[in-house]
Amino acid sequence: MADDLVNITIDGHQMAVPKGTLLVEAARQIGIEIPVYCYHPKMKPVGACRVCLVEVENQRRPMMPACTTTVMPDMVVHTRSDNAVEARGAVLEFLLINHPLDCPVCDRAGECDLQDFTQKYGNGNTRFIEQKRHFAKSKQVGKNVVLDRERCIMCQRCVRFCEEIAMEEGLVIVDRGNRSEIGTFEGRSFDSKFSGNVIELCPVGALTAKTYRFESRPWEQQHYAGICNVSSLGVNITVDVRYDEVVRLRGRMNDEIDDGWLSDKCRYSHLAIHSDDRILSPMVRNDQGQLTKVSWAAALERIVQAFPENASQIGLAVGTRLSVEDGHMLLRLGRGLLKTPNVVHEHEAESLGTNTTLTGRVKGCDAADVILCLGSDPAKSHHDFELRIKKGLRNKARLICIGEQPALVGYADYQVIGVASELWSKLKKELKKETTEEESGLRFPKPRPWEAGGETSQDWDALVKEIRGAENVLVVVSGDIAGQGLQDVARDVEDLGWNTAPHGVIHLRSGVNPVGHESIGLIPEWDEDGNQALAKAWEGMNTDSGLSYAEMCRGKTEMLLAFGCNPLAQPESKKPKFLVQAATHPDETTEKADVVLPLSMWVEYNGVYISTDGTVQFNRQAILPLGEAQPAWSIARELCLRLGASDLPENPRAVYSEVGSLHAALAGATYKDFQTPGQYHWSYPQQADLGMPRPDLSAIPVKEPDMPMWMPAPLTGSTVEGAGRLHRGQTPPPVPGQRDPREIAKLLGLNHPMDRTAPPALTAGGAEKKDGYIPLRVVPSTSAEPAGPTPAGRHHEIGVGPRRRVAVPVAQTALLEASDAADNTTEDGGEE
Amino acid sequence: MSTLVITELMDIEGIDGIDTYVKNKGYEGLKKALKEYTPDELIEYVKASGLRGRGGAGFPTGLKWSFVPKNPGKPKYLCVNCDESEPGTCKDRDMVTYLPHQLLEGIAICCYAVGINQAFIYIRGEMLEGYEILEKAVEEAVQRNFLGDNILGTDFSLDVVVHRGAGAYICGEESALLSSLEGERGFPRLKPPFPAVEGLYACPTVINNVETLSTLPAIMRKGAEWYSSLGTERSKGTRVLCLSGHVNKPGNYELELGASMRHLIEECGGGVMGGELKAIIPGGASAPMLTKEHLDVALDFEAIAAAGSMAGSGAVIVINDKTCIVKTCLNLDQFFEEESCGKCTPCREGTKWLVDILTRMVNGHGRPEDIDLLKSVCNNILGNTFCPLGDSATSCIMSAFKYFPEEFEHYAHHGCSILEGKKEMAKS
Amino acid sequence: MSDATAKGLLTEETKTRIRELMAKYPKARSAILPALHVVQEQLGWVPEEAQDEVAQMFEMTPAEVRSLVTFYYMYHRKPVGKYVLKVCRSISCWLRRSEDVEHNLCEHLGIECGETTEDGMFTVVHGECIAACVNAPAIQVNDRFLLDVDPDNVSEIIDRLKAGDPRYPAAVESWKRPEESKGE
Ligand SMILES: Cc1cc2nc3c(=O)[nH]c(=O)nc-3n(C[C@H](O)[C@H](O)[C@H](O)COP(=O)(O)O)c2cc1C
Ligand code: SF4
Ligand code: FES
Repeated sequence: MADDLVNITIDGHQMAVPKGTLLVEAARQIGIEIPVYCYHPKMKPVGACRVCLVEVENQRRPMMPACTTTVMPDMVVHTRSDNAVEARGAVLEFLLINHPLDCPVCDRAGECDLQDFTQKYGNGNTRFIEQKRHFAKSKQVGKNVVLDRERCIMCQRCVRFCEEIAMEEGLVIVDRGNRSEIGTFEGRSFDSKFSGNVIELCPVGALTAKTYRFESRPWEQQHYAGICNVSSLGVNITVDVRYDEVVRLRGRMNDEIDDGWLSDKCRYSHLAIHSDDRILSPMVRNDQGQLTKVSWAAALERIVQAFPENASQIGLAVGTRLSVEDGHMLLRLGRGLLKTPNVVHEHEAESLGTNTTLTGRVKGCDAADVILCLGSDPAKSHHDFELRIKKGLRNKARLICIGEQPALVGYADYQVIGVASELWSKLKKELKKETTEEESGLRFPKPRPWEAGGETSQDWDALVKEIRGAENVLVVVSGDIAGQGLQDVARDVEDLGWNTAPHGVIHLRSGVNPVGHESIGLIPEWDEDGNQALAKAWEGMNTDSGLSYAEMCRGKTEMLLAFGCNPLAQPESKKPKFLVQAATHPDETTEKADVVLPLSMWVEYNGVYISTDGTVQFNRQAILPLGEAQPAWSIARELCLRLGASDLPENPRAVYSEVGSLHAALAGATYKDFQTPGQYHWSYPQQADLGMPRPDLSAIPVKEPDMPMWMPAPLTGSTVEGAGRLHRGQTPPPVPGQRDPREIAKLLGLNHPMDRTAPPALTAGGAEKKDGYIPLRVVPSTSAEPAGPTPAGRHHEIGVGPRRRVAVPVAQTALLEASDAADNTTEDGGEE
Repeated sequence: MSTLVITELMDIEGIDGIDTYVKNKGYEGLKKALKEYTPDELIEYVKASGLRGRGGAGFPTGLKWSFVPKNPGKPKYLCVNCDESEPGTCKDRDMVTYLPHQLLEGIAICCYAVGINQAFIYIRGEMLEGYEILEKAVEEAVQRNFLGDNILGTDFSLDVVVHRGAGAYICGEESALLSSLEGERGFPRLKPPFPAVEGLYACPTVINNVETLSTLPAIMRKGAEWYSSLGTERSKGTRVLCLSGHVNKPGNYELELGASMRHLIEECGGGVMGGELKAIIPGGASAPMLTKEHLDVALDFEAIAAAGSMAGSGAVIVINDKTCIVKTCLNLDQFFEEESCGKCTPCREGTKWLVDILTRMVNGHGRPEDIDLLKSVCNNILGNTFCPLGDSATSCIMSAFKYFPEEFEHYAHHGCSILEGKKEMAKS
Repeated sequence: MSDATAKGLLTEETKTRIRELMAKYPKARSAILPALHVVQEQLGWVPEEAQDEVAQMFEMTPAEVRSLVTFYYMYHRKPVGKYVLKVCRSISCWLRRSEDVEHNLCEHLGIECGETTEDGMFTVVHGECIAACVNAPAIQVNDRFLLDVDPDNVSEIIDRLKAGDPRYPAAVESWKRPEESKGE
């Protein structure tokens, strides 16, 4: 056996695990559940709650907390011995004596660890006849965070999150002993960009979200694996749906990207889905200059008729919130059928072209010695990346900020203000100079800037020395300083030998999916060599260089079709002669558009997104498109049909397969690649198969269809899908000698919940359903009446009942504030 | 009667000043250590003396020092535990107030042996006087070069900082002390890593009690052999016992380890006050009670442990027979409930529950099932807590059940103390 | 009090003392407990405004400071009298009638334990073991010991304190929020 493996026995099962493994983790590996409250895999163990006590043979103290005890050779552990059962029961009893019995009105009921573990391991009766401890009922501690101190079990997860992970002012413990409570500084609100995480972390209902309070019960929900549609980081999320309404978003553990955390910016982005101002039907501007509702057929007809003779007078602008499939079908429409060269995505100006290879990855922060923010401000643009940087800082990285003063400067070890590109040239020169100077390895006890007494240094020489002594350097640049300068930086970084993934340059892009759109050619220059297959397939396609997005916004084309973007918000923008917009919410462009089409939001259809560091990920459809909204790929397809195309792919899966067969950069890609989220990493950017390491897709077991509904997220919070819940979640791996419940289900001819993959069919009116999505079928006609059941009609037939709407503007922050104001009468009946 | 080691100089007028102290052989131990021993030899020397920690656990002091890595590549620290808060214990306060230089000398000897250049004296906030005295003593010692840079011409330097706590018993627990000294809530920390390897600021750290360190100068002056000739086989030397409660002459008495409880209470303390002897708590509030049958138990670590209790901090609390044991337990547990840091569940919730039940019983609302409930709650705390504080809260109740079960039964069945019951019966 | 200006509650002297304390430790944060003592010396208690100021000096978050102030029970979280009488209630003192000391003190002053007399002179609180067990019952007045207290004669203590007996601990000027003192 390898040296770094340790033999242990848990409940009679022998196993070998790596040295240093915690007992909880070891047990989890073989499907033995040890309950935990204070333990969280992404935070330092504290051993405070004691619910994880197990019996270990031959110890001074027989009862050991499994969450802080690491495996020792030949350890014999009992999780179900009388002593273990008794200790666990005791801790649960202790926790319950002061816990209110308000499960019937508690949001957490149904996914509360205290409820679940008590049901499983508790004593079943109460011996406590004294007065319970009382606090004033729930109080709002943050903009969207409500605290009920009576329910708190002092696991300290929330406190540790603020201190350890977010490393900023947040929740703390006030007072001590039995009088402890969670609180903030007197009169100060807990407002963090990451505050929502504590809600998810709380194992009980002590911390709840204002937007979610009294909204839904966990057992009424279905959970879908999604990708955040707010930033280009590709943060993984779980979309919780109740009767076709998205009620909340939660983090989903992806160690490569997010570690399970989720910023509030993304967490509350679902509020826009069901907001009152969603555009839900096609509209055409009438003679009086007013937008009026029309049928899809009429709207499409109006567009087709407006296409000018000269193809290069047509522009297609594509928002980066759209998926790769959307982009591909729009490319087909633009370059392939309309034969215009003007098909670009909205952030193409930041594109590095096709000759630069960037090796930096989000997870590169973890082992970096130096994280160098070069004129970038990750904390401002990519909230979730901030947490990853902080993780790096906790590990060993030094943070160096060069350029303008970024928000993260309080954490920086070195900071130099100035013009980033100039400073970079100076730095580069000095780094290339040969030196023989010895580095002193001893860093103690210089306090880090975020510790009391530490401060940011502006000592240039020390900075240079620091970088020179570093092995792994992650250079963080953002879209703002992109362009030629950035290409130089990328080349310099290569020269300096930092180009070893996951370190090197990471380019934080604006928008959501710019890298995806670039990989399929939605940029002004057309890469002919790389796209020969495409040219062959789409005979006669336009392969000229086209206009940039900025030019299109300035009205350089007679007709502009804007999909999911807002060109008229750009500086110096001008309305073209004919303007079409497919949008989810009204904006500047909608105000002037001649035709407005309702666009689906990301949770409403399947799609692939490529994150800023090139991670290709799949976002699963969670709800049906609202109203008459359609995804962009489908609208494009419909227009293609009207231009005489045939043999068009009928669903996102087929579109993506076509992408895989036609685009060199994504060659061979299909939905089968997405067995687990973030499974493979596609090198960025694209070029004719560059010989980049491609994942060996054959190694991934093929499973149809797309995504498992339950993510094997070990612990993103209390809501452990699959920690061995009674009725929900993933079944733990079979205990040796025990039958896999899935097998049993199969024998009985039943469907095990685990094997259910699609949401329950919500089809009505005989519409055919593919990928959980009903393709748009419009009989080409000039009739104003839609043919067949409209999605809107269908939607109402399901009988969802009145939908709660948040009567607020689109902007996320505004959304929150407004809902605050609306809910100011407390839902608890004003017990405070 | 017995040899005085730690308190030998205590009665000398003005001994808290450096001149008087030096005149009375003060700092000679340090001089000897610096001159005659290498650090390693010194550790062996202290090991040979058999000195064991006086803070509570009785861990061999020399052995503890030897766990500290020799060249860790980071600073090493000494933390002097003067958080003395265990009910019944008040010896460290005397040692700090009357013999501050003896402590400083001990600190210097320890630091020289372990290779430490920075020591902290963590003194509990309530000892404002002790803090002022120590501050002044440190200043004096630095002036005379017993502390500070290049002590007495050697290349050994030592900086001593006196640090005031702010009212939390748990900060006497060594890892909580470290948390507190780093400016955090006094939560105990996970072990391993042990402080000797990763203590203050994640650097190797020695933590010793005031009395432990105050013993060192005498050991140096008079020899390890002499010291180890005092006391018993495994409990060497002398210790200061704090005799309090129902005795006629309460006080701090330095006795050779192995002296009997009877000697302490009857000879030194002048006998039990106000009644007959009922119970003795021999090692501070955390120690289980003993009774008058145990009067002849020797006051050393082993003998007390064999009798079912522990020597702990050396605080002997005497309880007479006019005292209600249930109320005594309530009082003791009120302390632990108030001082529980709240980190771990069994201690935080358990101590509160114990206090609640006992309060109810004392108020006359006891129920027969409360006896089993109390036992069960104690059992559920015992061995399940993060640090020993929770366990301590159970020891009085568990031992009281052993020796005085009838007192609890009386409360449970009659709603009043057995003492009141007797009174009533006598009246009628 | 005149110190309570808009600039902050802490005087320059207090701040200087805190800075000196910070310099004594390898990591400045270690000085936070002593620093809060200094604050309490100046103000008599540790109001939130002062916690905020201390947090700034230590580059800690105010919430962290609040967490510390409430963990350590020596810091007063509300204004107290010029004399704080802390009665030890732990076992050794309790065995020697500390309950009577507390009761008699409170009765004599006409307040409950934890309260302050109306003239702002005396606050009676109870404390856990103050390490004076062999001189039980013991109390502390402004953190200085009064030992072997006679439970039946506590009025003498009050009288002597009122009279400013030099052998007894001195009064501490306590601070009150301006609006509170107006209200009285
Ligand atoms: C809850 C608790 C409180 C303690 N309080 C003190 C104390 O006040 N003073 C002390 O010296 N040791 C105290 N100790 C013991 C210390 O943890 C530690 O063992 C001791 O300071 C080591 O010093 P020594 O080896 O010199 O005895 C306490 C331990 C516990 C568990
Ligand atoms: S509020 Fe929730 S997360 Fe925070 S300590 Fe309490 S139970 Fe734990
Ligand atoms: S003590 Fe192990 S999970 Fe809390």
